[in-house]
Amino acid sequence: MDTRRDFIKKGLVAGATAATLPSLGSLVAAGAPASGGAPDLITVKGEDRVAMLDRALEAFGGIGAFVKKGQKVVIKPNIAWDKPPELCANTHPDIVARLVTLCLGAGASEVSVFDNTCDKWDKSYKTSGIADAARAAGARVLPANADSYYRDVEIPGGVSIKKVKVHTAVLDSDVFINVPVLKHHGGATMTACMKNLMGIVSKADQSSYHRNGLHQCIADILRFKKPDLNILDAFSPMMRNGPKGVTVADLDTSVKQLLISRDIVAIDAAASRIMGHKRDIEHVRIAAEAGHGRNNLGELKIERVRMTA
Amino acid sequence: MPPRKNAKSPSPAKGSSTLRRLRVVAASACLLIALAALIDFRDIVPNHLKHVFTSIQFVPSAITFVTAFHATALACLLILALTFAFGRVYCSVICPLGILQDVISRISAKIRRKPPYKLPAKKAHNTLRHAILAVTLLAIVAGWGGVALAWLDPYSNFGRFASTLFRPLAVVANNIAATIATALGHPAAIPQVNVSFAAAGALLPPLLIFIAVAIMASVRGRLWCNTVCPVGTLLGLVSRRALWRISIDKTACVKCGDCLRACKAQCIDLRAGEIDFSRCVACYDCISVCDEGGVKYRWHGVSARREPKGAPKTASRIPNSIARPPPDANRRAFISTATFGALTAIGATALSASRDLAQNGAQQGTGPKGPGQHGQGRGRKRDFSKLDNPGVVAPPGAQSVARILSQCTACQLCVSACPSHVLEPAFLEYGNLAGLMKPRLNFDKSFCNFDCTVCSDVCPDGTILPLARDAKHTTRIGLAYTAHPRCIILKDGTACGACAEHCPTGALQMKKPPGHAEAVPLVDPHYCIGCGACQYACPVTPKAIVISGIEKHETAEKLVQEQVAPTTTDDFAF
Ligand code: SF4
Ligand code: SF4
Ligand code: SF4
Repeated sequence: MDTRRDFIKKGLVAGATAATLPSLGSLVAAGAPASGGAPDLITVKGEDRVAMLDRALEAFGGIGAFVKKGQKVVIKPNIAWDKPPELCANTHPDIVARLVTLCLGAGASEVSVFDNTCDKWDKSYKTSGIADAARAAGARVLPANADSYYRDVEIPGGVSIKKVKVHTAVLDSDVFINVPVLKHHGGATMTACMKNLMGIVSKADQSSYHRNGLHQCIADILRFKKPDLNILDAFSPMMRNGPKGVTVADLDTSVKQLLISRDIVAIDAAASRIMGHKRDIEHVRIAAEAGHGRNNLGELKIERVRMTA
Repeated sequence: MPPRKNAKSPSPAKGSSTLRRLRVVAASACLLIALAALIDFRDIVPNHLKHVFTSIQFVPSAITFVTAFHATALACLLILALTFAFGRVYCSVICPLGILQDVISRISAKIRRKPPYKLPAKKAHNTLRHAILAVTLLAIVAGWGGVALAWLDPYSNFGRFASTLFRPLAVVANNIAATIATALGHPAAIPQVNVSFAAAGALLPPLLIFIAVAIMASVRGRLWCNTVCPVGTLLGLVSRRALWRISIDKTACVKCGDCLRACKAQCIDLRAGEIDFSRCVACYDCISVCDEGGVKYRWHGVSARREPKGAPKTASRIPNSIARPPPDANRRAFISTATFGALTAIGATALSASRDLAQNGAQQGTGPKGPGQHGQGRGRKRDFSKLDNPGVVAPPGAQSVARILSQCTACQLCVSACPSHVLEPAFLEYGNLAGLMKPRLNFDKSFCNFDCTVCSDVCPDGTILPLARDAKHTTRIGLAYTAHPRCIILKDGTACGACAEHCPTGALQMKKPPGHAEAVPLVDPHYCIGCGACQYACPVTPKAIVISGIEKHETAEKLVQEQVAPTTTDDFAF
């Protein structure tokens, strides 16, 4: 597609503009200004994850644009591994905690947090710092380690998966917020927003994803449900040895971005550029072709914000 | 039975002595700690507590005393000293199997609506119990100590009951509670726990022994301790001439028989007015039940026994149904030179024995032969036969299969403490009966967590030696072998990489071999530690990647990579 080259060019121009803009000791919006309505995608570059999250949400009119009074919210971070926050194998606990606080502040009747982990669940919950942080902020931290926490759902029109067991917290909530961390992935090439949804299905389904065409399955689940909001922690993306990582040497600490979008395809398409991919990763392409979102970054209204101290 | 004073069933609670009350409290605490340590399915009990409590048990402590001396190894000496001073306090307070038997006989008494003991005095089965002790000692000398101790050690037997029998039941109970909690809208209150029953081959032996212990306990009190248990017999030899013994004060005794109805060891010969202190388990029930103050702890001194002087107060009122002809109290001593001689014997022989067995084990082991073949050159030829016939994998810290065979008493503490549940009792995976019930890693079920050192933290026998986290990161317990034809990337042409996803060391990477379009999993044996994460994650059966254990554990290299260079030329990258 030639449009791809176009938007890369545009991106470079926008980036260059951003780089040359003087920092005036306050928030400086680079790139396309949000003239009229929220952007399709916002990315914030800064030093403080919590401030970046607040700023990014601002572009959408605050968390209130997603969470209404009395609603039940489910937050799905990436808590896959029994690894501490500094290794960036899981979503940073500060982001999760802040999000819980914001949702409760917006009047959510209940905020649940869970993930179907790869390492032992209670250890991953603990070591990642997410369980304690989310609980302290007032969330219900739910287990996801047994089949009884899941219910069967149909995937209408699913190509590789027709039926899957989904965690009840997702099924019984009004608002679904997806909060992954950006990583290299040996099998799926990249873990971002779409791949993170593998944590809402049961262990047996996770294993069958691997047997039945990983990329197609990752895209298929979107037929069942798309998150209402995707927040991607790309502060220090893991560039190799993912998704578990070996040491901090695997991280690119220069990125320092946070991405937010309602469009899960758009945010993953953008994320793959951060990971250095020139073309869309297969599951992103499949999802875009199936109409789950837009991967043509050049046509999206993207707001790029650099925060300075 | 004609109604008489004291004829009612003597409940030891009556007029309970302080000594007995202390014993009951201490014993309950010991039993609860032991149960908690071995059942703990939520990993709540601190590992050092599990370790400390179990490593002061007699056999684990004696093994450490012989093999790797450290502080807890002194416990066995302390227990012997205590026994020499006061009798078999170990059996009544510290040994969880002993206390469990008391609990079983109380429960069965409730069910049968009978007083718990009321057992006739019996002759000691000296020939049998001395023979079992002798066989155990001989086994140790002959290099079969690892087997004999594993099956006769009371703590380890208890461990197997608790871990393989009680624990799954506790988990089932938890899950029923969890289901109710979830139904009530509080799923976080009680999380579900995966139930893991041991395989039949590993479940049956402890089940059968448990049934035997339970029947003996409910019908005959501490018969197990006084006929089967070699620790009981050994301590009996030491306690026979204890400095302080429980004995009958003939001047006070009215021969009502209350004490022998309360005695769970059937060791009180009221006609002769004697107590066979080699069988007495120091429960003090007789002391607390005697209204006349006729049973007392008394200094008997180092020399010959001294009977309390004085004529019997009254004639015997013991019905024959209760008091059998006097047992010829433990005269035939098994080892006439009592006490420390026996321990010295164990000590001297166990060390050489464990070495012998270690060598034998290394020679006859079933695992892949020849340690030290790995890491001798990149791209060395992989042995694909290991895929279908992998060697058994011993826990990290165990150092070798041989040490598991010679030293582990199969107490299951590591199995139940392993947070990943990758440890399970082996059936015949170690290739012989000596390995029955001993821990092995099953990577079809789970994998060994990179940062975890729990099994080495808890093992009381010094079989799994402590590992620092850093050392654990490079402790190789096996090696991963791939069968690419089975891998679905090549078989079905789909992306997978589940194995690489899980590899904590970076040994396993998805790479395109020359001439291949697809990236496939490739293991660099230098870095692989055999943790099994890849095998566990592999979604095909039979697995396309399998860990084969190694006889002697090795040290892997650490993958050191340079810090990734920032990939973005532009601030936002898009
Ligand atoms: S080190 Fe491995 S085998 Fe041992 S307890 Fe931990 S996970 Fe289990
Ligand atoms: S290795 Fe495990 S089963 Fe064997 S003695 Fe140690 S803790 Fe007990
Ligand atoms: S290759 Fe497999 S066994 Fe070896 S370290 Fe990696 S995950 Fe563990």
